[in-house]
Amino acid sequence: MGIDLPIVWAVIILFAVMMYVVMDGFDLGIGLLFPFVRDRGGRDVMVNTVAPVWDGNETWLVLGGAGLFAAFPAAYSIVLEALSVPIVLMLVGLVFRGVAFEFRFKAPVAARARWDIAFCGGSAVAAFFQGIILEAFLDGLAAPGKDAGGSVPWLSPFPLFTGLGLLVEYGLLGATWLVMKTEGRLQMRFAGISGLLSWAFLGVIAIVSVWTPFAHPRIADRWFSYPNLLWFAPVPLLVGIALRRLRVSLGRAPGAGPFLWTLLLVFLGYSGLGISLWPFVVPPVLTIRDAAGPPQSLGFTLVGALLVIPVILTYTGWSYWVFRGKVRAGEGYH
Amino acid sequence: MRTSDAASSHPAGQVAFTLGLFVAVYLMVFGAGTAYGLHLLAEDPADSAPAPEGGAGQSSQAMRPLSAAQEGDGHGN
Repeated sequence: MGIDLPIVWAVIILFAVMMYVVMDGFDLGIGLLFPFVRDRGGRDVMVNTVAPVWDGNETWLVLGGAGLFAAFPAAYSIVLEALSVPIVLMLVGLVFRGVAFEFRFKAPVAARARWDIAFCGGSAVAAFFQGIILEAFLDGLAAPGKDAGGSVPWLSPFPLFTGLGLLVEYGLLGATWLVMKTEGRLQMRFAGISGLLSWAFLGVIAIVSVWTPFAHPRIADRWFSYPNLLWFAPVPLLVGIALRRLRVSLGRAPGAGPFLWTLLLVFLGYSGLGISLWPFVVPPVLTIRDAAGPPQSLGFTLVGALLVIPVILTYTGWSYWVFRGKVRAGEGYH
Repeated sequence: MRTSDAASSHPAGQVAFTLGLFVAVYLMVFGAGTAYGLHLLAEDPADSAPAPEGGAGQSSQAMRPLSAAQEGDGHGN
């Protein structure tokens, strides 16, 4: 067969994780923005902008995780073993925010404030630990059977910073999503918040871009060696252009523009991640090829994935289409 | 492959922590669900029966299991 199965699977998993970051990013961001909107009506509108689509967004996390398990079992065992605590904490955050979607509308009035806290806190915990997991993973995990020396690799300054950085990124995605989906005073409020967060996000990008090569000589080699440098040189330029366009589109009557420019920023950051990771699936001990399962199981699971992914893309696209347009107070799926 | 060969080398403290966390989270979430169910049972059906609203082709439609609790048709919920 002329198909390079491990590469196909690596692309599928990278795609699934990117879809997750893009789609659940704004959706977690809405929870993060709760402290900026105190009144219940405003918060209801915020939640209703994602209520019909949010659980579909998390499909991509499941697909990425299951894909890793099916295609790269060796990598799955190392990642889960090294990062089980932050992964479980992320899931706990997702659990609380998931049930809060229903309970904030259904619970007795006196208990509703508690579910708002669960929604906001759960979103923050999930986003923060995703940032930690990302950086701890990029930092490199110990080879199987080797003791990490009693240290907790994810509990160090850089992962904690990327955790905070992801809060900013998701906050910006959420704020620009709400600019697109709301009207009137609420929209103006989120346009203002988006403006502030866009500067904060620029700061995060700058710090991560400087810190990464210092923290990881392996990645510094990748970035600054010729001819790679020529390929990566446009990335900071594109980040600058996207940020400029984002701020301009926030200035005039804002619609979908700010959200789309933020998506481009997120995509640029994500492409930097892929560039830094290649060809490893668990840096620096396992490459994509080392970690791949036997070709029979890769081929078998690929058939399933190729059947399922178009279906997911179709229903996802359809549900966003059905629920397009502005969400107004008093309108909701509940 | 024997079970002991396949087992990961998670420290016991870590496993105890995540297991304890799962127990606590499930108790809280299912506790809240049970409390909500009891709250619904305690309500007088005549007071809480909602005026029929929504339905096929209207802006409000039952889509989730919990929607049925609020947006029933007044019979058999």
